[in-house]
Amino acid sequence: MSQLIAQSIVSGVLLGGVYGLVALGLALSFGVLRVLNVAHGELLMLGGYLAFFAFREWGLDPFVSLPLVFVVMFGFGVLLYLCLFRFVTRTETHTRIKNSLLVSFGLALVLQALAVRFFTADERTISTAYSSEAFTIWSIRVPMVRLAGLVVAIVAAFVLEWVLHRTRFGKALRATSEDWTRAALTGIDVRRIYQIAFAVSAALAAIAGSMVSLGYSVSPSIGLGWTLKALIVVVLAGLGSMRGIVVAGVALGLVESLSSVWIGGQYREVTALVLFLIVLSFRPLGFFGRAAGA
Amino acid sequence: MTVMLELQDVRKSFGGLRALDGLSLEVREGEIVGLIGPNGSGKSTAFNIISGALKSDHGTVVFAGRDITGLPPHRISQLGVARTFQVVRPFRNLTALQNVEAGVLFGRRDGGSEDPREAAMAALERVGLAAKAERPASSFTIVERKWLEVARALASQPKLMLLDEFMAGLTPHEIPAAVELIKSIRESGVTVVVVEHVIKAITGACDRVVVLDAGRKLAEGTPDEIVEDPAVIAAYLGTRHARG
Amino acid sequence: MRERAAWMGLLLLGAMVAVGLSVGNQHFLTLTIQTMILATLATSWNILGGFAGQISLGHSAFFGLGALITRELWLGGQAFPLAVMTAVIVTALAAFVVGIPMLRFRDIYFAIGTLALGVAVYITAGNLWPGISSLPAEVLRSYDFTGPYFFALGALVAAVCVSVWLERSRLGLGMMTVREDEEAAKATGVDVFSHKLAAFVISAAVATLAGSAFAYFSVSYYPNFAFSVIWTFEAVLVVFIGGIGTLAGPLLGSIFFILGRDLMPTDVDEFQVVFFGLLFIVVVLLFPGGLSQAAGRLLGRAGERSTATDRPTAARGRS
Ligand SMILES: Nc1ncnc2c1ncn2[C@@H]1O[C@H](COP(=O)(O)OP(=O)(O)O)[C@@H](O)[C@H]1O
Ligand SMILES: [Mg+2]
Repeated sequence: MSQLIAQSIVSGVLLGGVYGLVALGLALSFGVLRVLNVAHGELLMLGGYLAFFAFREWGLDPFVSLPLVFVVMFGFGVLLYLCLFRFVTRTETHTRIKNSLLVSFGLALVLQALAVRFFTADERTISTAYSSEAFTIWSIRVPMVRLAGLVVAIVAAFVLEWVLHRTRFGKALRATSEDWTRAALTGIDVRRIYQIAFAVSAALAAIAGSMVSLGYSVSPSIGLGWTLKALIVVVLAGLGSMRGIVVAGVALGLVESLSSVWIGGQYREVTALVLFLIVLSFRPLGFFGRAAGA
Repeated sequence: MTVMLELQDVRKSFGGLRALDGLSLEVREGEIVGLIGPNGSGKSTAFNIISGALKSDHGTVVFAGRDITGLPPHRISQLGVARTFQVVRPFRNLTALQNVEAGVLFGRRDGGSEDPREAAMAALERVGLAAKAERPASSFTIVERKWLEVARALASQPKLMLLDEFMAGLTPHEIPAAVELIKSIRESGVTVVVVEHVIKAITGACDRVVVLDAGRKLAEGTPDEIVEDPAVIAAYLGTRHARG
Repeated sequence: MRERAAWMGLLLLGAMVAVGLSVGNQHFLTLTIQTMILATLATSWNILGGFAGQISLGHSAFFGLGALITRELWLGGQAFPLAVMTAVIVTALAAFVVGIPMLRFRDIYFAIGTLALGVAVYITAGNLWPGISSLPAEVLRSYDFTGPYFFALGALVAAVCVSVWLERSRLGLGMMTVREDEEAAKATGVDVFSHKLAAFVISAAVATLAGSAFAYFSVSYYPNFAFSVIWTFEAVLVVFIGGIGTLAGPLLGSIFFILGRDLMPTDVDEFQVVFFGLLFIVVVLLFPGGLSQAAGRLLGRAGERSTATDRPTAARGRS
């Protein structure tokens, strides 16, 4: 029994790392642009396919294609911003969030349908030569490709924090996120910040997708599930720190895998969702609490 | 005269900031009281606490002899406290008539025994918006929205009316009409508290003025007394607000 | 303008119903029933989302619960009307109990919370009722579209009546003030929470009727299919495309959606989703009034010259 529990703790932590990674991008777009992108999971799905096809068609190792996936989806993010979210950000915060939810909901449906059309509904996994490799400590298996997900999440969180707190650009980004009107008054090009933040958010989702198609699997319909995970993590962790988001992701992964041991595998997600609702009810304004009143 | 509203040692902090720091004040029935003070002195916060939109940290609010501290805002509204907002908040996608009907149907304790439509039209009449009754509030100018808010508040037949920055945004030649409106509200038997940060704008309308500074009462008296008060002159009238 | 569009929606639907019955074409009958079920569901979503302004993404839970209870009781030997009544009551009670914590969430937190709830209920339903639910042979022998057809019609009429009543009542006006501005509504004397809860419960009860119609109409399906988020998504799509917050919107949107889907090339299923998804985005960004506003404008312009006299009545809205 304890063996089983130890094993699920490890799997939970590894999966939770990917939850954190997806949530990083969502936190960025929500924190900076105040748009809630429920198509975030679909961007992850696209990134996963990109890595998959790069591997199958050109034999590119998913770690080698990681920069490629990042750049391509960064570009796609710019495109989405220019065609869609730019219009959403023109409204005041309250309608902005509502409209972004709706617009990205439509976008999610479209992207999913297009993925079925062009990639078929099949589930895909990147199977490299090292895919089945794992190391074992105290007879607990740690699959390398899944460990990679956690490592990438941690690295991404640290890089993001470094950019946010140590660079001029990061300073402008934080200023915009706090109060875009004041940021604009101090000469910051808010629209450029928005565009880059959204593009990085999309690219982060795609990186997570790479890790998902390597350690797990992708199919056109996975988007909503991943969006929900990212939402849960962001609501639990708040927008304060990137490290906090990865930690919350790991916690969610842990809760899920332990609940599948104790309650049963088919209820692992239900447990997480119910837990989320309970936590949310203790802070009904979630990460946006400071905007209350007035 | 009986006391309509009484605040006793009301305190409210936002994080470390003390917006109200032990405010006490009294408003008698039938008065028009001006509540003035520089921006950030806690005037709107006081209104939010009286109307129940915010909960105070300490102190009591007594309205018409009844302790209303901590009651939910809709109950306070139904008891007879109506308010307008510093930044106008009409129901944008409803018609002017619907806006005011809401005041009739929800703000009155009896739920409006009159025909709500007629009562609403009468309130619109009073602020001169009857001709635009069927227009959505979103099509109104800022000043019209202010009037509409007043009509919505009047429609609930309040005993006490709280007007937040009522004169702000009005052109000089609109101010006399606004002063007349405030007086006519009092004529119809409603006690009025009006918040203003430009003192000149309301001295003509007020019986009494209470000056706030940093969440405390700095002075109170008739408008004439207030402009003479050395403490007020030092803390407030010396600033550019007084001249503006 | 709004009333014109509402009349047009009703007329179109009436025409569809009449044609469906007289033609007796199975395919067209199926489409009509599907339209009525979706229109009922969309109308119920519109009560909560359009009137009270609470964007719920967990609406499928009520549709599914309605379908499940109705189907289980009905196939268990209960008279169908009794099964429906039980379903409505149980779902409304469930909505009341769930609504109290859920409605403390505001705006997107309500949307996210209801989405989480909807997904959790969907998974749970799949776990508890894994087997397919098929009409038994003796029911199937006498099965035709007449029963489901008239039931779906009745459900839709009920849904529209509830909406019409809300548009004209104190309760409905209160809901709309909540949608417009909660703070201002409170200051005006509206008990915001009670109005949200009322909208939630009424909306759930009406969604149950749509679910019951689905349970009556479908020969066989997996019970959790009725809980699928697809139902929420279709309702949201249809309401926005038709025109949120209006009577006609959900009706026009549903007709447009079901007929449009049927007319599109079937060899590429995904094309339909792409089309409606893009249309939805365009409506949200550029035409927040949706089809019913467009229809209202068109009719208004056409009617301006011919019947200038009916304008004041048309513009009155609430009476
Ligand atoms: N909801 C709130 N959250 C945080 N701080 C607030 C809030 N409302 C008011 N304040 C602060 O309290 C102080 C008093 O504000 P307010 O009552 O609006 O002043 P006034 O109406 O006199 O201009 C200000 O410093 C303001 O920033
Ligand atoms: Mg103020």
